Amino acid sequence: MKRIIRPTTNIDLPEEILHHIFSFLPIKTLAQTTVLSKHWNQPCLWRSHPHLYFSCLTPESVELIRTVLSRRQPDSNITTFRLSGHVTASCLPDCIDRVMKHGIEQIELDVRLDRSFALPPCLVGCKTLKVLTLNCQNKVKNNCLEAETCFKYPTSGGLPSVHTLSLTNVYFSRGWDLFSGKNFPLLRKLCLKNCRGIPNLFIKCPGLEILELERLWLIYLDFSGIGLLELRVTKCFRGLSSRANILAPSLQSLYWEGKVSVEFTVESFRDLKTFSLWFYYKVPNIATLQSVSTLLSAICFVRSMTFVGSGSRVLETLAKIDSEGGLPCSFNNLITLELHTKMTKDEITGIICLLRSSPILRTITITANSCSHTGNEDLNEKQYWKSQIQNLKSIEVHLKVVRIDVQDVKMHERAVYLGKLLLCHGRALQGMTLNLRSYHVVPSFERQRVQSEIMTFAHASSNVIVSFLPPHTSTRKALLL
Amino acid sequence: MASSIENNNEKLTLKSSDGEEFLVEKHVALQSTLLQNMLDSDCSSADVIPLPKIDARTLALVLGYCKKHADASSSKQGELNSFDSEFLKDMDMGALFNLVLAANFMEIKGLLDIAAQKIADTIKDKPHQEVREIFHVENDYTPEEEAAVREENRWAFEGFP
Repeated sequence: MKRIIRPTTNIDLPEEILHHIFSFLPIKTLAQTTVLSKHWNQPCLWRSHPHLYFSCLTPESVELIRTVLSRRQPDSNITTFRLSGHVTASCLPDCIDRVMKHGIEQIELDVRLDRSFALPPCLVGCKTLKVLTLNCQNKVKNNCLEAETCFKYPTSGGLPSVHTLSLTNVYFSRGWDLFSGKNFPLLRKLCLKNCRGIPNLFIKCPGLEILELERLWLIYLDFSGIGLLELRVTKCFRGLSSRANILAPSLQSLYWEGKVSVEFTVESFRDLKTFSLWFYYKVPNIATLQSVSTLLSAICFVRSMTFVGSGSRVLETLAKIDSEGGLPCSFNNLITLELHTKMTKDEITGIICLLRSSPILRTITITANSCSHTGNEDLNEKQYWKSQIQNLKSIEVHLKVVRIDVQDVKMHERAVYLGKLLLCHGRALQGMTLNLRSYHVVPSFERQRVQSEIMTFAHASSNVIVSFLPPHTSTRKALLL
Repeated sequence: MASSIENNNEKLTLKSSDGEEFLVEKHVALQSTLLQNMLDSDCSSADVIPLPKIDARTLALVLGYCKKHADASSSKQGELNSFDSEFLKDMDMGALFNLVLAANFMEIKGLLDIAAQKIADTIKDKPHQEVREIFHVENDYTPEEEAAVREENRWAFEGFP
């Protein structure tokens, strides 16, 4: 009868799946399930499950974790221990001590703390731990993390079996030479975000494959790792006299955001596949140009390059380097280029010198995003594009795919002009996409005018396909707008 | 992109518990760790692979999920997320249980997680008796025992009937 009133299922789920489902419940709901049946309170839920996740914790619910851990069967493994929510620092040593007795492999603490918590010495040196994630969610008010509530890494000892280490808002008391092959022999992935106490950071782990550094307030970075494949550095350096020494001969992907007024010592990355650069400064100086030049020389073997994000000064800087003696190298392997531009004269010069230095470039994506200048300059720009783009071998012979995204309605005239120039000169061109995203605010006859203008003049390549995005909206809709 | 699909355009046949056969492209099947391991070992892709625990309706759903995730590039995470939530949106508990069992058996981690998450979200705010019925468990506590358990986790039952 019950089934008819309240149709449910006739399927019994095995215990391991029940565990998995219950691991997605907030801890309060999970604690409530203990009254459902004896079977669920005692053996099934708490005694043997290898993955213990507690989410949406509150200081008073922490007691349940202790109860659960104290009732474990002594020989049962706890593979994963994950806490998220609000916890008291005083409960953590006991929890960590207990899970270590059950052969813990993965600890993830994504929590807000009531006071700072220093990693217990027993954890440093733990032989079973493979993955450690610490994220302190407390807001940091100033740059001196030492005085703030956070996680603290108190020793110069390492984690011998950890392969993935991710630390956010952690203060290192004795950290400068922590990341050595001796301390972290198995480390493959390291992420440090908003950590302090390591103004001079040395990382020398031969097995490291992925390194992500973000907001570290560094003066000096010294990295060497023959196995490193991926490096991301986001806003890590503070003063003017910062230095970075990077030795990563196998690097395949490099992302750099933030200060470039860093004195680089780098060797060429011969296997580099992707390179992405974003930086901003108010007044360029010689040191900045020198740093960018050094960086460009190191990445000259790259195959795909990205300069995106608004406010970036990369293209202007390239133009400046070009005017003071030319780019330090050419990008002989570069196939794909993606960039954001305001299409000012300086940025156009930057784009042109990139194109000139990239002999086999096949695909280019240009996003035109906002401008603030007047009509007169517009005419000059067109002349300038035209004079520069002629005789560019990469455009004439190799360029196959062009995509131009227009984000600002003020830019469409310039973008359309650039599209026409490329169609006019690109003999190998196979496809061009014009994404006139802002065209819904433009009457449809204007859109049609642009389309027919592009389609009707002579293209240098006979088999180029020109397409427009977004697809044509109905006239009625356009009129309503 | 095109070449990687060309290289993998072999197909294999999966057979559901109720005898229906599904022709699947190899790169779609590789979303399942179980099938991946079978293909890596000497199991020939010409054979029909029987899946005795999964009925045709569930298998069709599973393969729809696999196809979407195999074809989408990693850069379209947002699109996949909205596909995932749409995919489970109006599914009843029976279908979800079948799906979670199938995902567990075929070792499709992403599907297992979203289905388990969906079940957890559904039972989160349900009265206890309903949850018991969904999972077929009996309330085997005496009133005294139940009171003791409630007392032990008192913080969790504050404001709760």
